[in-house]
Amino acid sequence: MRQFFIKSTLITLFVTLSFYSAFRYVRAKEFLIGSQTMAGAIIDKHKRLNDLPSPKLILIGGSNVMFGFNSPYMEQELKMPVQNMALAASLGLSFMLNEVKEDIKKGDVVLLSIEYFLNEGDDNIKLFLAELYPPAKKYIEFPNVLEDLKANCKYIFRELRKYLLLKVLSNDNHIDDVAYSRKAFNKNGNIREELRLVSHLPLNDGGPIARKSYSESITKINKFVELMESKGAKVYFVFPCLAESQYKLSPEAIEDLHQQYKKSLKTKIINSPIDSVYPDSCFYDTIYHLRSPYHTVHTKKVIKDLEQYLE
Amino acid sequence: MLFNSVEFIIFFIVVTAGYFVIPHKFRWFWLLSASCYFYMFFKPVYILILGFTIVIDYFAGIFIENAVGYKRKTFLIISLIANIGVLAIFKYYNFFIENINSFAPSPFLPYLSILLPIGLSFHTFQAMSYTIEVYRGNQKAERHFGIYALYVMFYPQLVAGPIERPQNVLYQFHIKHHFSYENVTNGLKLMAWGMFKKVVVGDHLAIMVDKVYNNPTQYEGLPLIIATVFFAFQIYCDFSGYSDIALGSAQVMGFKLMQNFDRPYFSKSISEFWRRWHISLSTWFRDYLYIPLGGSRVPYYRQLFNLFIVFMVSGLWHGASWNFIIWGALHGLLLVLARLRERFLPTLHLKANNLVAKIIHILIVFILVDFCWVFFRARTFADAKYIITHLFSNISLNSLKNVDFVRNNILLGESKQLFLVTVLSLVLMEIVHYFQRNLSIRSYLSTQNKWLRWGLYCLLISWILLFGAFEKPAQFIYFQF
Repeated sequence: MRQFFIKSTLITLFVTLSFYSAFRYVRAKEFLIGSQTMAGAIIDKHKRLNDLPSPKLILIGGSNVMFGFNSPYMEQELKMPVQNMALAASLGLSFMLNEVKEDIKKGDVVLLSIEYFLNEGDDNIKLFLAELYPPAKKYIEFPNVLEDLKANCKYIFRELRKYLLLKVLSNDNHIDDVAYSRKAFNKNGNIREELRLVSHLPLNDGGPIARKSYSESITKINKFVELMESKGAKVYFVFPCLAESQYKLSPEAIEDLHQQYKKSLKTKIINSPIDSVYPDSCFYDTIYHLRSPYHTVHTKKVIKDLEQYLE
Repeated sequence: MLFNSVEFIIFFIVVTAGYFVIPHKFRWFWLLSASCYFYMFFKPVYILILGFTIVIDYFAGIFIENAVGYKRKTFLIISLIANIGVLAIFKYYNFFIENINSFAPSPFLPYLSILLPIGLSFHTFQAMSYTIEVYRGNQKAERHFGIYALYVMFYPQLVAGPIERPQNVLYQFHIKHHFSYENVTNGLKLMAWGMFKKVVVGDHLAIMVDKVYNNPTQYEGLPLIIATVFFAFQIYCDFSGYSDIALGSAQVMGFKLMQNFDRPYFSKSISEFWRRWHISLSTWFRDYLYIPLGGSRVPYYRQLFNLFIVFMVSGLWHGASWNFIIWGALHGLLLVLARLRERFLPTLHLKANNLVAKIIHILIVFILVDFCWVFFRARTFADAKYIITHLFSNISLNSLKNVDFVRNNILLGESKQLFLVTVLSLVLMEIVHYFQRNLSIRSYLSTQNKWLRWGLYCLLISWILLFGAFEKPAQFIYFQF
């Protein structure tokens, strides 16, 4: 038994150390490249958010918000600074809410526009962001220590695999669409208008939206709303912009979610799903990504809906 | 609990360490508790079904042994009705209702809103083999209720077999197993090999297979052929991978379970395939259905008919759907045709002495078996029909451009390379299988230089960790049965 324990401990240590060292080497090598991807924008967004005086308007959501709003126009119309914090729906609801909690002060306004049935997202992407911007570690929620450990191990294996397959074996120097890089953002945190002028039809979509209970997520949003209100900030909810073809695939599920929101959400819902539906040709590449100049059209509609509450 | 999950690794370490630490007289309780926990990880309430059949079969075994004359048969029938009844309600009720309702202008019989308990067919068949063997006098009735319960619930083979026989396993629960370095390391190696098959090969092939088979009408020609060939390997890696982990985890504690697979795709005939594929189920049907129906003692054509029926039932065992029945019937038909050819056209048989003839035989068997897999994997009969009728239409490399593994980014943008790694792993696996025909790889490795040996073990572990599909651990296909 002793022999077995010694050997198994040695092999476990050897494999663990090898993997960890390889991971640290790869990340150090790839850090600069990673920080120039879209994910790197989290650094800039948080820096500006910290610097902005209150009252300010903060936009929260997935990429529908990143593409769907014209923040400079909002600043001009609402006469307050606007910061768009959105990056990707795959960051999940908790991450999105957690990342702004500390920076919201009295008098601030939060506009929440999350994708339909947004879940807790992809741990790999969250951990990648946390590497680029270490304070983001505390925005990530895991149900328990085991899940935390599992997610971190999977992330290490995934990053090593990616490096090995894409860089070592195939020397793939794939460059992302410039609209998905750090420099694609304007100072307010939107994707710059000139980078998404043309529609790339057919749009990427996730198929029909399934109807399900969203009560757990609504509870999370409500807790966030309570916290914000206790700080003297206000939270409003706006439905995400959506391509008409996608809306037609699942109108019942969308309306069902609308009713769940109306019944349980402890914040003002300033529009209805159909108000944020636009023809497919108004979108850049996916069913949630409005292109220029339709993001301004959407922004104008939202400002009009929002103004009655702000006054 | 899935074998390919972190939870299982923790569970396995704790259970195994506990097993060797606690005194022998409490070990059955430890293993039984662990097995209950393992099963209840999926859906706790279904343990009541297991409990029901365990109680019935435990007492049935004792009553059968104590009774004489027709009473023995009565107790056996009670046991069989209880087991088959559970299967009928939970697995087949809705299927029968659906078929009856389809003849009516509007559905008139109600459906049951129930989920199929995981591994139901496996543990009910294992339980039935116990009472049948007691009835036949091949096995003494187990008086220790806990040990009998453990026979049905032993966690390594609880949800997907191998479907054990009481003569092979029950006595092992009474034996005191000592820690054996050889057993532990061999068991772990087998588990690692099973994990390699499942997470490196099977689960990655599943991505492409699922893409095509979940929407077959979007494809024709090569994508359908590739997906069908991949499914043959996916299901093999998935199921034999599970069996390897089951056998390995039992071996670590000193238990020896029956082998369930023996390189089935190297079979040179369909009957050989069934001696190498899911051995515990095919021998179950042989011993408890085919032989009781008359075996080789009945007239020739009756034998063929019985063979066909047994395989149809085997299809139904897999799932309550016409596709599974057709799959079983096709295998039955192939076996019947093979027997007829052997009898009436023996000269047609290629002498399988030279390599070319062997390869031709292996390829023919693989193609036939793979054709049958279409029915097994397709979601509906209509899908299966579409796939078969479009397998050879528009055969061109251009048709592959429609396939998602080429066009889209599957698996976080690394699909093409990972696909190549998967195919490489598959080839490596088959090379290992090829060499295993004459020698045990484990024995061979044990004679090699220790640096080479440990290097290979580290490489295997690293390969699994790097290229395994751990993002969302996929359930084993056979759990649904």
